[in-house]
Amino acid sequence: MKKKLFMRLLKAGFAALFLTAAFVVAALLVLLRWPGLFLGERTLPWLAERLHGATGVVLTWRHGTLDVESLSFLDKRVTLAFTGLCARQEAQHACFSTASLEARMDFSGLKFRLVDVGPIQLIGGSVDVQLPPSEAAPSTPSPSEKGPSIDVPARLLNSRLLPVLIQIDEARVRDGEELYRGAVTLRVADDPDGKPTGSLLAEATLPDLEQVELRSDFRVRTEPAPPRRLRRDREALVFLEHRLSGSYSDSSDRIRLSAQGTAGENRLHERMDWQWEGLERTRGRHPRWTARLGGESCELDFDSSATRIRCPLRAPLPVPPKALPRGHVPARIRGTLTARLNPMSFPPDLSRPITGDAELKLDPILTPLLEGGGTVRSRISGVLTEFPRNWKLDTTFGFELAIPRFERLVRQLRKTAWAVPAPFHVLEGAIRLNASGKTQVFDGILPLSLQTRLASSNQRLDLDAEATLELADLQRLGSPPGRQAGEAPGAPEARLRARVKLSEVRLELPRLKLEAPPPLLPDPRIRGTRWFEGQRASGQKSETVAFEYDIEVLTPEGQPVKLISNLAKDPVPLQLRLRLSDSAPLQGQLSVGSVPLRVLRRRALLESFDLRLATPVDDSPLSGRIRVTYADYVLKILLLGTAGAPRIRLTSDPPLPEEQLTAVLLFGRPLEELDPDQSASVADARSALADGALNLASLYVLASTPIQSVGYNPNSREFTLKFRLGAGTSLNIGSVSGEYQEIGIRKRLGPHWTITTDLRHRTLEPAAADSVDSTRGKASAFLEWHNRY
Amino acid sequence: MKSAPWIATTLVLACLAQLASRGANARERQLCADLRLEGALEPGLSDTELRLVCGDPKSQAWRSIPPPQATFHLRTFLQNRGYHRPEFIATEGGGTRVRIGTPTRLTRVQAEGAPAALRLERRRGLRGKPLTPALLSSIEQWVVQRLQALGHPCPLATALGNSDTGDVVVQVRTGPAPRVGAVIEEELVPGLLPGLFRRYDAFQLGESFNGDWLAVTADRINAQDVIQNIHFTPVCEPLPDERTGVVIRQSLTPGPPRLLSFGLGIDTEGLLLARAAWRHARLGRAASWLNVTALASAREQSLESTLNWYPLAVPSRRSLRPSLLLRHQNEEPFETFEARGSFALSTTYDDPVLGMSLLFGPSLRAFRTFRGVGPRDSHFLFLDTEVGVMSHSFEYFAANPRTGYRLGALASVGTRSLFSTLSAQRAEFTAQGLWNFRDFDPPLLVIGFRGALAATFTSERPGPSTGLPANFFHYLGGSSNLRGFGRQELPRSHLGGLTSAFFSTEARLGSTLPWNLEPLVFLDVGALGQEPLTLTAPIYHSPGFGLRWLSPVGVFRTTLAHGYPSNVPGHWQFFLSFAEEF
Repeated sequence: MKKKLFMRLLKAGFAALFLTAAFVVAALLVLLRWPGLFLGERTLPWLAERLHGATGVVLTWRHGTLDVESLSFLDKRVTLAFTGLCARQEAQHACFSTASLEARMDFSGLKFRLVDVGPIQLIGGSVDVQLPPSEAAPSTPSPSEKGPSIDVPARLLNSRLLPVLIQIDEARVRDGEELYRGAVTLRVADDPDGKPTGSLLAEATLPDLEQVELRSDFRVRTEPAPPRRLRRDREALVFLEHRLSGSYSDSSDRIRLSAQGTAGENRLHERMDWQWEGLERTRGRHPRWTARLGGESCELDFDSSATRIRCPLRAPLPVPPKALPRGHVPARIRGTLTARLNPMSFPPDLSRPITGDAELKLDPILTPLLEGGGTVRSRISGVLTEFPRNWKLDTTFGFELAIPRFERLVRQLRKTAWAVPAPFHVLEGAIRLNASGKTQVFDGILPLSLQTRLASSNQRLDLDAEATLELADLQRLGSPPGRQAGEAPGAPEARLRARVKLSEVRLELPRLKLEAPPPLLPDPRIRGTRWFEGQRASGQKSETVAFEYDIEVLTPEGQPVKLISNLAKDPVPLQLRLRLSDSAPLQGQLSVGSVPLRVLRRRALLESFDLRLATPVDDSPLSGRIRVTYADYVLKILLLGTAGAPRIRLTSDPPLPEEQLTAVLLFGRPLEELDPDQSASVADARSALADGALNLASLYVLASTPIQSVGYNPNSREFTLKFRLGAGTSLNIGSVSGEYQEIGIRKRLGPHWTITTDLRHRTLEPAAADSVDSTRGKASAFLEWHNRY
Repeated sequence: MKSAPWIATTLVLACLAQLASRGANARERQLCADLRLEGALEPGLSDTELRLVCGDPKSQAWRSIPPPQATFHLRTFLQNRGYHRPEFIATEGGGTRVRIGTPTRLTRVQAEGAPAALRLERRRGLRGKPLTPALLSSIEQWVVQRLQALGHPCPLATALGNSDTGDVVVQVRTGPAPRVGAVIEEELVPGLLPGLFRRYDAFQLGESFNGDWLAVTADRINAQDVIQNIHFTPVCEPLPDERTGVVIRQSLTPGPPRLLSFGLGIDTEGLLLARAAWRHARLGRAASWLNVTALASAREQSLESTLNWYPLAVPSRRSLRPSLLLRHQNEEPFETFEARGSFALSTTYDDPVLGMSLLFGPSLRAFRTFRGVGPRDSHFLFLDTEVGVMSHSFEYFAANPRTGYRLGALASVGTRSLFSTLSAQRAEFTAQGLWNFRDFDPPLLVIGFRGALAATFTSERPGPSTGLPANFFHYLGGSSNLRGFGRQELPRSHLGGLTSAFFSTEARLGSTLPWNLEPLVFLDVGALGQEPLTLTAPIYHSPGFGLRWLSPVGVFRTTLAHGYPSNVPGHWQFFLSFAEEF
């Protein structure tokens, strides 16, 4: 009974199984034959739901169709067509006005095969992408990462790619606060050989009007894979051959790049040309030349073991003076950059640190005027996405540029605007500029040294200078973003701090005559219209400083600068410590050491002279002491006051009245022996000196010449100095313009002689009860000999 | 001198000489081997400048000058002479031809930051001048001086010139305008009281600062020969505080106290003079002075001794002034000898605008008449009073008058009952004013007025039998009143009058003609009276014209005028004077 029941149930089971199989087969047959009965518009929501479940992408559309065309029993073409298709995943969002996707599938042999992919058209795209915030990257790359490879499913390798067109009219990419806008067009199709070939055109506008353009043509190449590398889903090695061209520009920089290469199977090889230009611009009153740097046939090899770069570089230099013969000054600097970076994943994970070594080797400069060369070696570590922040470039460098024969340079520049001026143009010797040491590139500090060894028959110019050049562009690159943002506009682009030691300097001054020295510089008060307009404009906007400098110039102890002048018997030793800065006027101190002089025809000793520079220079306080030894006393001349208004105080040992000392100093005789005119000169000279009405040059002339008379009008601060030139001739110098009022009534003609005007009726002094008669009010003038005693 | 055709001849010859010298300068000049200068460069390059352009064969380092440096130096030297647009043209031989062009001339001056009272536009003589650093400095100097006169002791001025347009902008920082706080005497004259020189001050402590009045003060002291030299300057470091006022520094050189002089001269009447004088300028701690002067000309010889004694033991303006005068006058109407002794109280006073002087005291005068009207011998005891008022500006421009005023009054009272031969009183009032039209500097037009009214009150009348000496009577004519008549030509009778009055007006054109020549026109009107305070016909008048020349040694003036009225025999009168001013 049980057995019978079991048999019945078994039969019934088989029958049900058979019927089910028959139903399924029938259903499959029906599906294969009339797929439209099962797949259609109604299926789309179901498919979208499955997609959402698998990928998290939410698809929506305004109108969509799914059409399955039965080309044969086992050969089907599926066509999806949408209007208003949108896909969204979290913050990412993409919409296309129209979208159509086709694929042809073959089920022959009960094996699914994708015969054709495409045509695919996604038109009128609008894409919004929100980049995730950058996260801290692992400190070292994973050793298991492979190089660049393109994994294509095996079933796609034998598929035919029909034209693909993806057109995104507006792509918006947000990175935090930044918004990038752009457009992308991608076209892909198989070439006649059946290899996918395409082009990608992308244009983007970045914040601050930066523009990026990228055009790429690419072609997929496949090669049979070695048997050992065959896997179930791969039957070939796929390579992407590409040709890229792009450009980037913003307000200050422009980069052009063209490259061609191959990517695939753990290897990327690029050969590229590029050029960077720092665009010419004006900051404040400092025009800049266009800095250019380019690389030709740069090779980049990327594989799982390392990344290697070898790039010949060239940087054109500013156009040299036209008068210089060709080849005397290099037109460009050439060099080669080589780098080896440690393994990276592919595509590179930009958030992971990279490390490596780089070397820049400059080709030697060898021209008749210049010699030089140099090498830079750097140990690199940093994260690409953070470049150049937090990057470390431990750099060792050594450059040298020399002018081995200064006289050649002088000769070549003689008729150019860069001519070396006298008295330096007779010097011969060498100038060497060195830059060497260890530095962190993004500290932006470049140590420099300059040395001159120049000499002529009676001159010498030996300087030893140490300097650091800070390049703000590099410092800005290496500083945190917050600091960059907070940087003041118009901040300097470079800072130079230098200490120039005048190791041995002896220079000859031009021969001067005893007269008012000629102006050596144009008077800054007289300018052209353009300068005045510039002044008005600069009054409206603040000027930016492109270059900051702080230069200290000093003489070593015991090694003063020696100035040779026809006005001094021995070279004048000048000790100086000056500070030149862009932000402050010239500061420092000039000191003249002990030097014998002739002061007013007598031998004297300049014991000290110090000038502490101030702004304007005329306000610089000075102090000096001159000792003149006479038979029975020593006269000390103290220089006080300022450079523009020096005052003189006379003392003596034993003490004598100051007017006596002035008389002796000016005329070589005591006051009692002077005629009234000379006495008046003594008085006027004392007033002028006490008033600071003479500048240093006038003082020097006063001290160097045989004085005939000194005149001073304190009201107009006019000073005249009359001195004998010999042979009965005399010369007047001073500040008298002849246009100012003189209310004096006595005009000097010479020693003891004056013309005196009696103007009693024009002064307040009572007329001493003069006779009351009709001649009252008459004036008289006398040619008078007079003597004060 | 009735006419002066030589003046016109001299002027014409001088003009021709000037033109000839200019023509001679308009030429080319080979400056150096490879530098040629085209154009008239005035003044030419100095030796030092030439060495900086062409090189110095005596200096190894400066033997040759690189062409760009030579060009730079030459540009600078040309700029110094007002040539701002030189052209440097390279020649085929490798040299350079320098076309210096024409100098940029000043077209307009304006001030920025200056008070309205500065009125820079009144500064004349700038427009058309080559724009040179020296010109800018002179403008700065003028602005500073005028701002100091406006009460700013420490102003700063920077003149900027536009080399293309010739415009000049003067940037001014006036600084504070404090009152005068104190005077620092840097040095004391041994033996003299401190603060002694305050009696000459034209400026006032506690009043507004005025730089011109410092100069007036210094000039008063220097004119008195009290010391060799003195001057005053405001202390500007630190800048004066409005509350404490500006401090003025007084610097002086005492020099010896005694002065001896001998001189030959000329007075406004064209007379040759000889003078000898001795002066002790610092008697006692108060710097009293004693003056002895002997003067001789063809018409007058005199010996005068005056002691100006400051009796107080503190610095004071009050003094006692005894004086003794012996004088012989040989004028056309009379010849007299006068002996005079006087003793007067003298004092002065200044306020911020004007100064006053007063002299009061008795004088005893004895006369002997050798010729002319009057008794042979007479004597008088007078009580003299003299008051003078003078604006500081009149005093400031004393040597080159342009503005200000002066008033004077003299009175001498004598009575027969008090040691006098006759009763006679004399009075004289004088007034003078100068107006600088629109206050130009230097003046464009100076208009002046002056006049006097003098009278002798006595019962005597002019005539051969009068009891008064001749020099008690009044005469007109001469360069100091009626310039159309000879000196003391009026009245024609030579008897003099008891009253005289005149009024003169003169207009002088300043700084328009070359060589400091200034033409002038004038009209003098006067009258005399035979009775005290009575004027009778005719009324004399003398229109005329003249020329003033501010020479390096002083002022020369010539005038040519005709005396009227026509019923009096008139004539052309020519005067040439030195040191005389209207």
